Amino acid sequence: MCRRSLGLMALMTAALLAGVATLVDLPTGIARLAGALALVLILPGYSLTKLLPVRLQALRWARFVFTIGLSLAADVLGGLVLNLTPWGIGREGLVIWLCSVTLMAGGVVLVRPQAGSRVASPDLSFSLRGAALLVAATVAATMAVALAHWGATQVSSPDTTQLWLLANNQAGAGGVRLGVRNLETTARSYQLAVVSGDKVLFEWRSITLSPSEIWQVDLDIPADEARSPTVEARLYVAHSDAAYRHAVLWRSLPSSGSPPSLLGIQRFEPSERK
Amino acid sequence: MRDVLHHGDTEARRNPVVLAATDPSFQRGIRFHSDPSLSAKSKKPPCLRASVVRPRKSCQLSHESLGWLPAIALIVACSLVVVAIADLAARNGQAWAEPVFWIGLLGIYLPVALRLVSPAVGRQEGLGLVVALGLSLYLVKVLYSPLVFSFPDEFMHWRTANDIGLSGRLFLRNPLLPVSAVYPGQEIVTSALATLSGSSIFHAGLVVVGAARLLLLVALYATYELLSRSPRVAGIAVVIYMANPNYLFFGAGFDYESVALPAATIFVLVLLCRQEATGSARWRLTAVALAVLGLTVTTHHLTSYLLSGFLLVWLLGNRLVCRDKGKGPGAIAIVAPLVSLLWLVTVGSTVIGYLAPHVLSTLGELASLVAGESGAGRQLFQSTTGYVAPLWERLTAIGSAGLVVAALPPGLFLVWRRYRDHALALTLAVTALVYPASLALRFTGRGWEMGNRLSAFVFIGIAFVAALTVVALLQSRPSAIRTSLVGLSIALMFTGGVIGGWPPQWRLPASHLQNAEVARDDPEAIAAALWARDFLGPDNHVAAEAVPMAVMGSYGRQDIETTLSGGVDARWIILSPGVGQGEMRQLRRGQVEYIVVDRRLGSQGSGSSSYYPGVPRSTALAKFDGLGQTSRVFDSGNLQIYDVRQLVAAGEDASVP
Repeated sequence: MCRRSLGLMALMTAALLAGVATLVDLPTGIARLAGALALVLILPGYSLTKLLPVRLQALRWARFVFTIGLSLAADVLGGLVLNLTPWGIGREGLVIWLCSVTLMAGGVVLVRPQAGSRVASPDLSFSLRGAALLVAATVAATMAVALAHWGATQVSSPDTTQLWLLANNQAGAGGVRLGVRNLETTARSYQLAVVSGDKVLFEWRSITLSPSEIWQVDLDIPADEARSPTVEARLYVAHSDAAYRHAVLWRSLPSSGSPPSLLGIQRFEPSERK
Repeated sequence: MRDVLHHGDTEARRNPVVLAATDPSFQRGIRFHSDPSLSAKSKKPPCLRASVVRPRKSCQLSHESLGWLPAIALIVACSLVVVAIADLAARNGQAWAEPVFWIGLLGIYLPVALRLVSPAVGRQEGLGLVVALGLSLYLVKVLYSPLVFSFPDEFMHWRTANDIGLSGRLFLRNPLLPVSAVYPGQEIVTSALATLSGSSIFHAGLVVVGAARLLLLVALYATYELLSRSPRVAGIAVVIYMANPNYLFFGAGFDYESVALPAATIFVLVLLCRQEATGSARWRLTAVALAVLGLTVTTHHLTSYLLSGFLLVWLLGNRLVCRDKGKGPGAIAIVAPLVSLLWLVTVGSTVIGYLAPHVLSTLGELASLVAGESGAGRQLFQSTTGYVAPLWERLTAIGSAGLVVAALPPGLFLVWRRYRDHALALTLAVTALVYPASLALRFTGRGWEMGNRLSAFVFIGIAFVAALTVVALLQSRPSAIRTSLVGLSIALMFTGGVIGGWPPQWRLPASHLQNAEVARDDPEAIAAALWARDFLGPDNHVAAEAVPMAVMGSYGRQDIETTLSGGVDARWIILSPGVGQGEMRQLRRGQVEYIVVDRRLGSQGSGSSSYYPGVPRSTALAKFDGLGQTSRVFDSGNLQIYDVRQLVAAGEDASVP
């Protein structure tokens, strides 16, 4: 088997491996990421580039431009085609499409008689000093990205608390869902009161939430207990009499004759919420 | 003026630009090459000439030095660290962030510009410098917002990509930008990468746009080199291209143009290669051209229309001016507009309603400006919020535009003298001539953006023409001082381009505490949007403005009210002093269910005063708490979400107490 055929076989094997890496949930994401990058940006175009005139393939810029450009074109064409199928643009469909393009182009090149001879591109000469400088440049650029990432992360926390008050129709006509989420950088303690007019319907003296933690309660507040058409939730933090957060729910409910009741309290991290 | 194409034997030997072809089917031994005989005194035909050459021995091609590339790459990378420090300082509200940013930015651009104008640069070094500069300038945008997208348009395209990833279907309604859904090329690629890799749309988008940026630069370099037969002209041209006002930030965003423009450039490059090819090679290149054309047409409407116009001018130039009629884009120049039209008619018809108002209002403003009507036009260097650019910025931007304009006449003369038989060069010259007209658009309020957007296309021509001027200037009397001055002038072009192309408040990341109007990576707004998605469910009709609108429509997956999607302008409701009949009509027409209010905007909300002059913003926002039938269902301190379903259903005219 000649060197050219071996190269093509390696290319086609790489496409299959990339396809498997993106379909199988491996313990590490690096293989999947590498497989996806290869399938979406490199392999289909690289394979198609082999069908181009030999002298054009020999040019470094041409290999780069056509590899990426034709890969992008193959992706878009695949998207349009898969959109017409009942399965849509899914993981399996994309893998099958991109692998098929790579394999078919590679197969055509394998069976096609070789035309012309390959002309070598000039090699780049690297001195030790040049290589060291390039490595240092890469390190510096990586440092810049890391610094920017760190800087953005420092301010990415909302540093806030969310309060919500929603009608909960699943719990009946008087159903209300009340929630607090601590999105601040440290654990916080809150006081929470549910009032209607001047009547306090429910009160929680101390709710301590760690960062990102959600506290949520389902209540039943019949219209009879309400002194006004609104139910209000007022959230307080320590050392302040002013409401830290404030939510209001307008309701227009018929009388039911039953007292207000607490249906259940939940505490969970956002990821646990179904 | 001495001949721009005279590079001497040494450079010609060092930089053999072999185009295409000892493949028997691709014409025998044809190449474009740096020919020292192509001097002003040469009487040979000035069009690209093909000559039969023997392949060089490998020893002649085997080694080429990277020259100063490693050292300059290190300087550029260190300058990136300076930019990162400036970004960090800006996030913390430090006033010194801006000068440090400029130092870092010039530290990236200037060394490359100075080196590329030097006659000692080899081909590999030149291409390497161009790639290093392009990557670094892209990283400047990445450093600006390394965690999430933050430019307004990016949220719109994020929504389309996310919809494709979630549903596996194309052409779903995108309320933020309906036209984005019908030109989904970039989003297909991004969602494919995100789906297969398991990464986020943001990270996949960064990779896709980064790859497209590199593609654009390498394709431009190759095109300029094939056309001029000079790596030096090519390198300088690409560096000048990067001085276009849209290059640094807008062009690097997650925007459909970021992929469509590279695709269009590759298309032109393929046609350039194709015109020298014969037989099966020509057919293969035609197939490549069609594939790349498909990518362009399905990705961005404006790019595909401008490409169509470019091809028609190229075809026309070839038929009218060139002696060799066979060397031109050929029938494919007709195919491209037809394919664009076909996509427009069958899929992308919403683009007419999207573009037409912009074009018509711009033309109207231009007409008013020409007629000298009072009040027509826009004050340069002054934003709608009243910000006036400092004097140095104004002078730099004017100097930059002046340099570009000054570089055009000599370059156009050289194009006519050297390349008038090459239709592509003439087409690039015609493209460059659009620049003065695009400058005129900057004097109009609505056309400003259009003129700014055009720069990414127009500079493809300007770069070539200006590079010819630069090389001619340097070759007429070479000296270190002159070379340095030319390098500095190109850096001035770049600096002015950045100033003229991107609002000052968006050059550095804003602290959301200080500038909520522009801090679209605002974590509180994003958290509120995610809450809305999880607790209210997707696809509610939500009225919001500024940052909440962008994040609610994208991360929140809400059916946000925008005039682009046929909805109402939420500011007429949010900024009104009360809710009367007019506001109720707006609420009903938009079927608004929720209103999001951001109290940080205070009086700085852009354009607030033009809606209800004299009404304080704080007063306008306070009205919602006194409205009947309006629930304040969410409060995160600065942001509140009001449920107005009962209010709309009751159909009552409420008024502020």
